[in-house]
Amino acid sequence: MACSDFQDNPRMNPASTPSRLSMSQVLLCGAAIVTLSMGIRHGFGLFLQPMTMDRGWSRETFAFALAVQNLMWGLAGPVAGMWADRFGAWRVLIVGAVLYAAGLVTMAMATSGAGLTGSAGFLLGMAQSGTTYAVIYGVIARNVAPEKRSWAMGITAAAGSFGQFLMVPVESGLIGALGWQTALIVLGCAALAIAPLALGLREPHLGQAGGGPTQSVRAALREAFGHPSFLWLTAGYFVCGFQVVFIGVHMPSYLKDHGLTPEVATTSLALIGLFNVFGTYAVGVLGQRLAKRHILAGIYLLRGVAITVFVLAPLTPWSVYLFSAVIGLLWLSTVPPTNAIVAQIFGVQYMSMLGGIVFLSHQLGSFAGVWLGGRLYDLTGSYHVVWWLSVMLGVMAALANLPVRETAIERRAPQPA
Amino acid sequence: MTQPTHILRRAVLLLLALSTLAAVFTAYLDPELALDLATRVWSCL
Repeated sequence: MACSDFQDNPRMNPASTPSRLSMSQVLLCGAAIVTLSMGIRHGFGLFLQPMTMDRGWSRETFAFALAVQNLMWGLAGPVAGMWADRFGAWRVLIVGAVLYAAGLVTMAMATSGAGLTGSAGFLLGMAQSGTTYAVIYGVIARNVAPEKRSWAMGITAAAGSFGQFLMVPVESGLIGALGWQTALIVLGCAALAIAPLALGLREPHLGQAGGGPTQSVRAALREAFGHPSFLWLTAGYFVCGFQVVFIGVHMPSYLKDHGLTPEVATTSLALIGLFNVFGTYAVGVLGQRLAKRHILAGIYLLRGVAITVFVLAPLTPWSVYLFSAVIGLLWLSTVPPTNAIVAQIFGVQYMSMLGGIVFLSHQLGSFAGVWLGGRLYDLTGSYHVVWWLSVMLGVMAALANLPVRETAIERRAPQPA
Repeated sequence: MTQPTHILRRAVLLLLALSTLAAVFTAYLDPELALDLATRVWSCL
């Protein structure tokens, strides 16, 4: 395997010049931001029961608002990414923090389904697009040297995973101690902490230095969509969203159908959260040593194998725990290599925008995973069809990642008039 | 930074990270919280 496979083209990559922000500063601020942004959103399901009971809403009303949130997160991602690339991630992060806080406070005050969709759906979806991985990874890509980039992305992804792991018991405790409305307002205040942290990611001279040719947004989009590797990565990420969200949402029902106790579901949730932290970090480290396309293919293939064994083996609490640990290791571990490959191929100028586009595919996959999980269950009376669909998609995603080329794209320098 | 100090610093950081993860994991196993979560997770679907 040629070493050049793993390096960016220095002519096009400002990060190959000396870093403008220190790596520790980028990692500390970036990790703290995604811990908050990924963590807060992860506990939203806990608000379903108290909110629907207090407001007299149906579960569909709440579920619709969260579905809109996920779609908005995906749809607004490329735009937030483009603004972050052009005007600085810190500005987008501050706007995102304000939207996050506003979304949580207005969610606490919502008295109608439309109000809930506006706050928990639109506002929080846009807030997440401006405060999560794509925006932070742009800063990492521009300020961390290519040979440490995958590791740095792994650290940040692990921080997001830790936030998810941490905030479920924290939010449950807040709801229990303060009530759901005050809990949302407290979380809104916590989201505001993203704003001062964003100042630590303020990049001086963004878009000025670096020595690479500047490119228009239109040209960057044309280039990305004309590159087969970008399309393969995007297709693979769809499967990631499909599998993760299908398992996350429908797993408790599957266990319940098979007579397992609620405590098994809770322990399964904890194990997925714990091993997710290890998995995302480990993949970041591995990305420094192995071809990332092989890592991605391995993750998708292992997910398929894990699901196959889980579905075929007798279902016991211990088989659930083992599956949860393995799938936890593979949970968000696709995030660092996928984004690192985007930076490797296209450079860092539009890293956040291109990362946002790939993530949109992830969110469409998430939507399909939740919806098809429920739809096929209603049609067939079991989850078996969706489990096997997940296996098949996992194999397809593994194959889709193999032809990805990790070499930097060659661009012609602009000719003088 | 000397090599032993560097190793010690990494070991302390690792220990801190693992202790934090263990503490959060223990929170999930607290019977009251486990029941609360299970009820909500269960009743959501």
